[in-house]
Amino acid sequence: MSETIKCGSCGMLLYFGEEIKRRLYMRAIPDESAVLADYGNKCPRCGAALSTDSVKIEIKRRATHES
Amino acid sequence: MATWNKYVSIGAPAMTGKGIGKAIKQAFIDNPKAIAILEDMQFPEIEWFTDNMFDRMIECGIAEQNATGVAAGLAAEGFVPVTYNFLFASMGRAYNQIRQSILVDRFNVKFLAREGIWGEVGVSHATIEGWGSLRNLPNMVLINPADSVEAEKATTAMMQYIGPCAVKMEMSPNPFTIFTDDYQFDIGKAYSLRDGKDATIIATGYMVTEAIKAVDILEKEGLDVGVLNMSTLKPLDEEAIIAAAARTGAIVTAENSSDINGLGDAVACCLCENLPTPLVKVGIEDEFGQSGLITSERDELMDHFALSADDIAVSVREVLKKKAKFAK
Repeated sequence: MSETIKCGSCGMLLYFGEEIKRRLYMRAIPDESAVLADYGNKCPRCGAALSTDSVKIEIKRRATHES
Repeated sequence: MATWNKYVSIGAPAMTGKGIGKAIKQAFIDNPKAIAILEDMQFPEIEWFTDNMFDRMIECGIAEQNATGVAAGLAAEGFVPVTYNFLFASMGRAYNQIRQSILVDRFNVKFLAREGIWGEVGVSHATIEGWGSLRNLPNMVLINPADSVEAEKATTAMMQYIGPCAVKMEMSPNPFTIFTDDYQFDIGKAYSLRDGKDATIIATGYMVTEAIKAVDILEKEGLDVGVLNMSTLKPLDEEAIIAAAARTGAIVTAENSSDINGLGDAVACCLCENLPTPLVKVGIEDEFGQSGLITSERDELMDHFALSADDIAVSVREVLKKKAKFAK
């Protein structure tokens, strides 16, 4: 499973990779707010303030016939 | 002549390397933490770097595994290392180091990787399987720009993004200039150059140029064929693929690399799981790259591997037959 985090304002991709909370041990990134903190909580492209409320977080699961 | 969507203006061929060099230079000016990792190879704008940023270049020699370890260590200390090499060397030889030392911890390392089939570099350097072999590594973003404008914007986006990311510098003839300067590139977003009604060609990198030529061939036969530029292989824009399949009901994929685990397989998987649609892949079928002659009249390898616009047109006709059969 993969997780993406995008700026809610301009849609810039901020994170793509393993689902952050999925790994049992050795988590390099503890949670989504740590990703945003790496950007100084500001989108590098549009300058919008980033918080877990202002970004779009999507965890992609296996597709089904209904999807 | 075919009509194209907004931000598309087909122009003369231009080197993608130029756009990448411009973006890298600007990124190094903007970000003092950016650092060039050399592997006894060129680097974009190397003369400018030698004159202006000599202290931000580390030459690791022909020791790619070591260079990858150096890049990982620098990234752990907050630097933004950028490596440049043929893909078989920077990412093929150092596959395990990239997995273990960079991707597991998701270190912020950037890769500029040359791959493709073009000219006389031979089987060792004309690799075609590298891009596909990277697709199954978690945490990696893979971008293959279609022209010089997109290459510049994709490289800027790569440098803004925090996380491991590779931009492919395709070994191919120079692609057309496709995009206008105000085109906005987004990592993970495909862009429809033309929507079409009968079929959609989903192409990546240089093959977008061949897809554009194929549209003109097919238009003379009365066919309305769309082109979707899939410049990000990972994360894949599944919504755009499904929308194109829903609109035209027939898909041809085109890539200048192995068709195993590359764009064609990714699109096929997406459609099989979501919206089963007739599909034909244009790519290199389970063989190694090799040398070929290029003359003003012909590119021997494009013909040998059946990657030209004529070959794409043949595949579109084939997929339309499948579509007709599928409809029964």
